[in-house]
Amino acid sequence: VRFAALVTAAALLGCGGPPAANHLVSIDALQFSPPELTVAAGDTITWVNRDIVPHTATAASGNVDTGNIEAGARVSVIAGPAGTLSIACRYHPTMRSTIIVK
Amino acid sequence: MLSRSLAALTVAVVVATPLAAQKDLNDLEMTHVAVTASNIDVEYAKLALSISKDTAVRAFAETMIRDHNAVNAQVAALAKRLNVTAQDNAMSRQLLADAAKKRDELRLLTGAAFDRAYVQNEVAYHHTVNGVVADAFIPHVENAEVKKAFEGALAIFRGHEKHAEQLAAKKAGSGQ
Repeated sequence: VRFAALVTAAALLGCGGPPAANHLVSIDALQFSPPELTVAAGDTITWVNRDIVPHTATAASGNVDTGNIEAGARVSVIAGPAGTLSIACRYHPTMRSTIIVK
Repeated sequence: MLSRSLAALTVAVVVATPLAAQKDLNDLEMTHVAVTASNIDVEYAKLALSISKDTAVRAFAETMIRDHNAVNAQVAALAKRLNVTAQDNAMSRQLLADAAKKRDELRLLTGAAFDRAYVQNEVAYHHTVNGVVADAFIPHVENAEVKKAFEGALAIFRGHEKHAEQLAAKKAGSGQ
């Protein structure tokens, strides 16, 4: 799991801001659900793979890459700086979603 | 319905002999057909990896091997739990014979010509098999767990079909 903004998130958490939220993205039948998600920097995003084949959640920008999410597994990352992330599965490029970090 | 679907499959996958006398398949025969179809696509993918130098084509082929092996492993686990064995049948044998001929055709190609032919075959193959699974198999599967496994596999294979279509469009658009 690679996320360049981990340090940023930790700094935000230490600044007494609102508590970080947790967001779940389900992967089922080769689809991300929800297909669009808005989060705050510092929130945790967890992808749960309900398919029987491995997937990834990989940002075109390179800012997020969960690596392999095996069948039945889950992988979490902490949302980084504000921006819009175009997410796709590296193995199944028809799987796409958008994550907006505010 | 099944006979019409079989006929469609026969045409699309380049079949030598018609399957006019096919009777309805039971759950274990349909499972055998599905596993056979999955294994055939793994073999197509292995051929692609031995010939193609195209990054996107190779990545697609690797995904086919990864996913179809995963589906077949799930089917094997279900069969073991239910203490049943998939049953060989005429349709499975026909699929294998047709696929062997198609692989022989593909082996004669190299470079961009191979890539185009492989990807186009993947589009047609997935489209046809998916249609048979959706229209002729799933409505007639009796065991609920087997039906659920078919439905899960179909969702994945429909994704493969879209992936192959995208790849085919790129290859057509690039002229490569």
